[in-house]
Amino acid sequence: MPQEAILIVDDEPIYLEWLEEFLVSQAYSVTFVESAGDAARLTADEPFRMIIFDLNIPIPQEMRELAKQRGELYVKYPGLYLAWAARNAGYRDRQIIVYSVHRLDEIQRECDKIGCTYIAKGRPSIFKQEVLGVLAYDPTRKAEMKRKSARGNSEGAASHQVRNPASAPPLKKASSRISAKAPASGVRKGRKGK
Amino acid sequence: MADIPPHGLDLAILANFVHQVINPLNGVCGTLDNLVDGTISQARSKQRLNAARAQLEQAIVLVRNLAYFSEMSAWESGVIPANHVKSSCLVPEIIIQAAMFFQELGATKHIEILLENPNDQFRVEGNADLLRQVFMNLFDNGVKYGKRNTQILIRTWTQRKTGALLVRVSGRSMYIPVEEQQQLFDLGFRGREARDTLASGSGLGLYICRRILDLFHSATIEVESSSPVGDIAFLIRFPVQS
Repeated sequence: MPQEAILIVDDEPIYLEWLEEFLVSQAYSVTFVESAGDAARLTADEPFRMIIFDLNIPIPQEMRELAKQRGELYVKYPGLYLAWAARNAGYRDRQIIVYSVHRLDEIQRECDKIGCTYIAKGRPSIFKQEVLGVLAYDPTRKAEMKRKSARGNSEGAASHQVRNPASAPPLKKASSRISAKAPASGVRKGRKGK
Repeated sequence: MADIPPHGLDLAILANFVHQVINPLNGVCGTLDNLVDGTISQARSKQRLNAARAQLEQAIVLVRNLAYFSEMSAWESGVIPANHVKSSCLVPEIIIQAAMFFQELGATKHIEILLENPNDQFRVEGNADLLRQVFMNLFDNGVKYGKRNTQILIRTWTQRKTGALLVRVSGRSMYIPVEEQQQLFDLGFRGREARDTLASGSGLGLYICRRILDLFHSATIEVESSSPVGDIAFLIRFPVQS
């Protein structure tokens, strides 16, 4: 998986081709998946720089039962469940974006709790700015700088290992993986960035 | 069926409608934004503008449904606007016009819309604009819910026994359970899977189809969904034309 890969999970990808074009122009590669099952499989198996979830992505029945355990909001907005699962599969808060048509306080509160970014559709220029804002911040870079700084201050001192989510697989908790079988037919690899 | 409050506005239907219409509009807006800021190269601009136009046309179909819905109580009490007067409608021509709106969107999923016998000159008494909306709603559903690399096939024929004109629009999408098939044309009805999420379907399109066919064409529409693999067909039956 290339370092700059971004996953977009939306059952109507045609309406987000503009976002794919934009991300490709920013030197990222984009993979679209149209089903929650494909999303679960890919997020568990491959590392992405960022994952963007449609809150209204339909989910299969078995996953709906799991979502119910998180509360009705997760059933009504299944993307929230996928975001929660991705966070538990090791993705960091700045790597997960969810979006919907309406901006709702109850979703914002839940996103704050889970730790992910919530964006409302409707104004693509703002959407682009927010996505770039999220991509501009890489927590591992900050940690890397601290590490270098610590090394500079104390030569020879053992430094802690920093995992880069973009270049290394995310930390996985086996117990929290989503299990859903789905065909890979809905996966579409987008154009690769410059 | 949705509960209609006394003021006549069903908020659930409206919320679903807004969701449905924002998606294509957001797609158009994003494409225009990319053109303005130079994200899209000159070489690709025509192709992207065509795609945006297709999305805009889809939004217009949805908005027209809402406009027809708002006129419906007047229609039912016999008040017919001047632009909805009846005349002789050439059915294959109307089907082809409706199909052209969805060619671009269909192509994105490799779904072809095919009229089996385009040279048959079937005519019915009715309103061409409204009849076109019926087929556009059916094709919109066919493309939206259709499986990739499939066809939406339209067949027209005259029933020997009765002389009625039948139009069958078939495709491969999702299986509609028998208990839901009769409700499919009810206002605000969405499939079992769709009810749990906000995004899937406005619950207006097929209701509008049934009312237009009934009020303006004395025609009926029914659905056939016979196999769990997702074969689905809509059968429209026009009465014998005088």
